[in-house]
Amino acid sequence: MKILKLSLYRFDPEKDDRPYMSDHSIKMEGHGNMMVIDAIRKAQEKDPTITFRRSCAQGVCGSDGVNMNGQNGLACITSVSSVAVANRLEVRPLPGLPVIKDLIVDMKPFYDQYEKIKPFLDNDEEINTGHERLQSPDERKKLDGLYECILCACCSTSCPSFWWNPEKFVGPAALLQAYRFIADTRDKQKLKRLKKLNDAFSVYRCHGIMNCTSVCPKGLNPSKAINEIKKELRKIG
Amino acid sequence: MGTTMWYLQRATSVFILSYIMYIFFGYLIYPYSENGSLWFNDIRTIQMKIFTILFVISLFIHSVQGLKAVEDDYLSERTLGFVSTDLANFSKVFRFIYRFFIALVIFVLTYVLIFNYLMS
Repeated sequence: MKILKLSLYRFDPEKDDRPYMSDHSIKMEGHGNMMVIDAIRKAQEKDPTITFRRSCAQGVCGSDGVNMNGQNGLACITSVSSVAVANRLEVRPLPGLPVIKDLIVDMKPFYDQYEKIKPFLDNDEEINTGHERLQSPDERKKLDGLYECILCACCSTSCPSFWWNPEKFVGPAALLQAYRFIADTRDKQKLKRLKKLNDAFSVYRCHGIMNCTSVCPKGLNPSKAINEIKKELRKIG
Repeated sequence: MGTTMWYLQRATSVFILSYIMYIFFGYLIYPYSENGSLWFNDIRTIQMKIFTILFVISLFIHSVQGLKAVEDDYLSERTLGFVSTDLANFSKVFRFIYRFFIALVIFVLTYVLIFNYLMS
């Protein structure tokens, strides 16, 4: 039977002066593989003080974003075999956000940026047609790869620009959502949205490192959306 | 503002590259003329003086933008705090020294450019 050497980031601000790593040996029963979240839960069975977020465990809610052997991802849909090196796995909280306890981070800086981009359809025009606002199939197609974001923060917390300037740089997740509404033909605030992003930090702090795209657990491409926003900004000058 | 900076960064980089290529390939093709190197003769002409001053202005604009990004990213209280809280407390001092050093380099280069080159 395989044994996984699991190392977990631990920090309780009420007790600990500094963070530390706690080591656990996890038996990999059956076919010798499991999801990372299951390995953490097994460790928690032995030490109930280990704290982490989880909800659906299906890669839908986006609550168990963590850093596994240096790469961000959702613990519930990442198998141990895909990230462990020589049966060793280090799990840390998402980088760049304040740690509340163990693997739980304070998502406020991330949500603050999301709030900034006004993530809702903004259209004051009255509807007198008797049906909802319609789009052509081509117009609807533009939203594919944008609306599926689950706001797990894996992308934004893998971005150095977001680490250094979380208050000023909007970050890949929120920018993906910004473009989702810029590209939506039903939204009537395109120009206003673009003007709000036209400063040295909000969008242009993205230097195209593309960490966001390589870690997105839903296979989305925030980097492409950011480039599309830049193109739109250049059109308005 | 963001888009203007974006355009400036790219336009200046094209200008910097074209100047460097001109000097580099000019020297490769004609390393020497009757009175020394082509580079030495050419740089004293009025056209070359204009080209050079535009190059230096482009270099200033381009490098100041880049150096400002370095300051914003790595000399902030937050980033220095990742290394040590003591360092974070001195972030303003580091930024002042950094800006002073950049201003000094720009001042010296401008002085050399005006008095040793344009007025020669």
